[in-house]
Amino acid sequence: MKYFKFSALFLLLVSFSFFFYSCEETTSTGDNPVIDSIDPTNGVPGTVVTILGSKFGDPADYNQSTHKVFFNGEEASINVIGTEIQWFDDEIQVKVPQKATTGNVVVEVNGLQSNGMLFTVPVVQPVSALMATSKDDKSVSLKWNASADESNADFAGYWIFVYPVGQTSGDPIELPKGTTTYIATDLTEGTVYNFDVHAVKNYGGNYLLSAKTNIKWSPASRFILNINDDNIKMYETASSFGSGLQLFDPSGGAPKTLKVTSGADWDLGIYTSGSNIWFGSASKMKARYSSFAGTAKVCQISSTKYEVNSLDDVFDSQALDQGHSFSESEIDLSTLTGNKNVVFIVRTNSPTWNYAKVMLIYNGGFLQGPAGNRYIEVQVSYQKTSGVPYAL
Amino acid sequence: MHRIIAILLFVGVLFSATMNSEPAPKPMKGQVASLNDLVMGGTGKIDKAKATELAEKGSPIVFITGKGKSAKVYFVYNADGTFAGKNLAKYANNITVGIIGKVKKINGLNILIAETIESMD
Repeated sequence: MKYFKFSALFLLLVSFSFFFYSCEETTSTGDNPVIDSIDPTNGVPGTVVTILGSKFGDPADYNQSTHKVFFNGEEASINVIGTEIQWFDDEIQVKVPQKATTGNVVVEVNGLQSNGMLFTVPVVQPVSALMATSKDDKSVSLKWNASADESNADFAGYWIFVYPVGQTSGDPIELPKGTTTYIATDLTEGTVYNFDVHAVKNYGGNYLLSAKTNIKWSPASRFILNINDDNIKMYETASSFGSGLQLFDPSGGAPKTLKVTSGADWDLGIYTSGSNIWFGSASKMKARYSSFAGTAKVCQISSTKYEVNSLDDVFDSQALDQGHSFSESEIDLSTLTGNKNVVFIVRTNSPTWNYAKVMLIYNGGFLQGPAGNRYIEVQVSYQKTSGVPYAL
Repeated sequence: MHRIIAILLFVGVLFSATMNSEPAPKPMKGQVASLNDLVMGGTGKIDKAKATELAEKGSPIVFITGKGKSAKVYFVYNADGTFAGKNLAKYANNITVGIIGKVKKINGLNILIAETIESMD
């Protein structure tokens, strides 16, 4: 019995030893760097933080690509005094990175990571309701609701980072307090860009950024003229001129009005009868025009429509392939009561799709011009790169 | 009284229907051409870029209807009396162009005062 008690005690001790050994293993292995403390434990970007610990590596072996410190995933720059890089085996001095947020500080040496140590970055309230629209083939308009911190004395303004998806951000565009719109220029149509908007506070020369509010968007071509450099029109059914519209004629480089004899190239069209003005997908128009020539292209219209004064008034908070229900459809414009221009989201060239927004101009009515040759004037925002669901 | 209102409504509807079904003025159909090329024995066919360049230099851009012996060359003018060559040049890439307007013959020249120029492709 005595022997049994001794054995049980021995086993318990072994188990405890193994347990404590295992706990050490979860924080770091024998070769991993170890953080014992950081000072200070909170601060704004630019603040110099001292990290004390061990196994950070010999200063002579310091290499920028293999010796790193992260603040919640954002890489920090190592402090330099004179010409001496402040990286030692038991101490590192770093600057809190510009985009740092509250989270763990981690040291990484040759791919081995240390334990994490919490560092708190003061919070700035971000912007909300960020929306975008394609201004033209080289620019994107943004708008947002101001940060709730804007009334604070230390509120500096807004920083916007613009960079293609898949690439890293460059220098910010700095906007003053009170700004809630911005037009990003010199962009490339068909390239999808990240637009990260940060609210910024100034703490004695150190800038503190809010969490980013992001939207992805791409510039798209804006057309108010057709291939003949005239206003874009769809004529009433009784007219000898075309009632159909090709959103983008590649050879002409602009939208093109087409007659029913060129029906195979229609994306959209109108059919007028009495007071009814049917506007819709080519397939729906083919069903109405007995002389429609050729197979109708697949062109889908979103069930969402916007009644606006200008194409510039239509902003989105997400890509056009998100949150929209597309189908080949038609609508009787005479049933609309808003007495305003109306914008439809459209996509054509299945299955990769080119996205567009089409504005039908209301000028006392949708049909204008002389009787017999009345027309609907149209403006188009068209994304020439297929598979990129951003236009207008 | 009701009968009078009913008649007035009927007349109104009839008037409205008549207005909507007003026959559309028919355009003259043709093509844009370079007069210089026609004079030199060519077909006059020209693309938009070239037509625009010639029009800028003052070289006449004209409108041809019909084919062969029935072909007619029209000098197109805008309603304000200015020569419409530059405007016409924009339609040079179109297969068929329609012009609504008034035709005049002045000293043997076919003149077309254009109200509307439009593609008829």
